[in-house]
Amino acid sequence: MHELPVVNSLVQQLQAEVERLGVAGRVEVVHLKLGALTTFVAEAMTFYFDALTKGTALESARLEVEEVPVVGRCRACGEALTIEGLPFICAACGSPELEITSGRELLIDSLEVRDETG
Amino acid sequence: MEIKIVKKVLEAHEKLAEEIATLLARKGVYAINIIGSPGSGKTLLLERTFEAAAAVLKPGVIEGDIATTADAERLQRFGVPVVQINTGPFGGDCHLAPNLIRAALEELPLDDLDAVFVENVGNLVCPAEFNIGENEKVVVLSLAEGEDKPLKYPLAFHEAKAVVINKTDLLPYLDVDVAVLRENVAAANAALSVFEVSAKTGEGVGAWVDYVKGRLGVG
Repeated sequence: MHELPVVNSLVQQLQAEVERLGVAGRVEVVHLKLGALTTFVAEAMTFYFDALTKGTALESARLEVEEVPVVGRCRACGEALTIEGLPFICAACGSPELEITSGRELLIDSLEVRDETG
Repeated sequence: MEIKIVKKVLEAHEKLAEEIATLLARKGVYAINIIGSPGSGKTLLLERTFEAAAAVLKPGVIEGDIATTADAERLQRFGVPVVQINTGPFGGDCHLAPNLIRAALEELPLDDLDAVFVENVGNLVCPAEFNIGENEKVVVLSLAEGEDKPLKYPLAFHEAKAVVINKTDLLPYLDVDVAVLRENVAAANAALSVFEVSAKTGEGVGAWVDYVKGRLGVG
């Protein structure tokens, strides 16, 4: 259920971005990057997105969520890691001292806009 | 046509959390964000902590609940300043967001405090997601919840610095293997400090209180 306020922020931010950038056409796709180490569920986000954009300029837009894997580096041996599940330890040396470099993001990556002026 | 944006959705939240962290640092106040399931014993742990450390600790409390002021009332006997946040009478937010924390901090006499304990809304999911400008998150997990919880809710354990395994007095009545639970805690975050306590009997609370004092650098 905590996706609702987050998607609400997303929609408000998108509306501000569309205005700021002077987007003339119709937004068809919103590409979102979602880290695997977040607790947000993509299906819930698209569900709320469709509900919250109804009757707005973003009504025709579809939310596409791309999952970003959990990637990090071992502080002990320097190994670069992609972590697909627990335990949170270095696959090379077993150290738990990991620096997570991606996997916690929630980013508006890009918009696909249909140019309707031509 | 593709338009590149690359902006954080929670940018406003994160900025606010940073402002709170700066404010707390300036006031010399250490903030502990306590996360745990409903009924895991978060409030009773606070009560025991204040009893044990009354002489050295100058705490304030922010209580987060969807509804009721029951927890704030429980803490009033310690004479500590408590601000109760209710996120909604019939099912509001499942976590405390930084805007609520900032408003609550304005109600606390920060100049007279050395710590703020934030008891988050009972929930192992959403509170893990949102930074509120705290110095550290602590998970309270009761034995009755089962040994698999660190595996099911890894983010909470991953984001925390310590976990308090509560209700050890129930061990004779439960099919929980504490060694397995500890292994699961370590799988989610091997760097966690782990405490086994019974907030009810007081057993093990001393080590937890020493940890808190150490973090605050007091007595």
